[in-house]
Amino acid sequence: MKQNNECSFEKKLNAYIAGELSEMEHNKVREHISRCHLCQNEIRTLQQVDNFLFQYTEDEVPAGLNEKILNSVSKSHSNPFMRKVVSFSIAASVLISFMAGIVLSNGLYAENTDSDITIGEDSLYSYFEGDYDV
Amino acid sequence: MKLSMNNYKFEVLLQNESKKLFNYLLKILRNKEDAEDILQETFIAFHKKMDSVKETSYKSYLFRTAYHKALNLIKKRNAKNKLVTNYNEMEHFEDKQPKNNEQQNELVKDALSQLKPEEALLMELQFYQKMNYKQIAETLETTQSAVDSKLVRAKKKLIKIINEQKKMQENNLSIV
Repeated sequence: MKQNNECSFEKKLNAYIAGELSEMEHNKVREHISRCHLCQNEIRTLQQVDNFLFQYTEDEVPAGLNEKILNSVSKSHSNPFMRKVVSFSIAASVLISFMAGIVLSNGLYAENTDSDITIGEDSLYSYFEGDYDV
Repeated sequence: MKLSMNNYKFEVLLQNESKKLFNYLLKILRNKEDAEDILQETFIAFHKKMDSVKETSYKSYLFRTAYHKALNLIKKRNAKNKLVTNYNEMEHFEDKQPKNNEQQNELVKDALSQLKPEEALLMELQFYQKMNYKQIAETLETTQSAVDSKLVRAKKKLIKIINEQKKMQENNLSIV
């Protein structure tokens, strides 16, 4: 019963149509098809799909779409090296400013505290010693 | 130097492949605006990764990217469309009865959109992009024997769909 409805070659038919079999296998299948009605019918059915799909006529890409794609690409990714340079420069300048800020503020703080203590000490000392003129 | 070479290659690829990709997206998405958006996203994503893709795999990469992006859109669209009734869709379809080439294209799009997106991609790669099993297997990251069996399955489904379309057309003609 199974022999009447199925053929062991059926699984090879799609690859046969697509030219995907080795030369030896291809010849073997071709020879088989010539005497197998099931396979002949199956080939016809598979070719129906090919004929159907080849009816499709390709549409054109809408005008300006390729240019639009090129523009978006050049805007966002056209120069990754320059983007890296710019990012690095910004990061470096922020870091330098920050470091300079710390150094400067430390310097000023040290300067200010030294002078205040000196003045203060001098003043108090002078006051208690009685040198301080009121 | 490398950068300008890449830009040149990108432009050439865009000129050569955009039409094929656009038509593939049209077939599975059946909407021009969506196809345009996904095409644009695909090429931008490709440009970002261009350095890490082998030149011989550019086309495969583009189709794989387009497929995944289209798939995401279809999933989102399906989630939204759950609220829309089939009745409205039928009405919309009947309003836009196309003719000649456009009608044939609509039949093909209609049939392909009834397949699973992966099956539609298989059809696209074999029939329209003329890829062999090896190239299709590379694009879909699978084996050649899997490509063969999936293609057979997809073709059988398509045959059913084509026959249903024929029946519908005959019924419509008999009503007119």
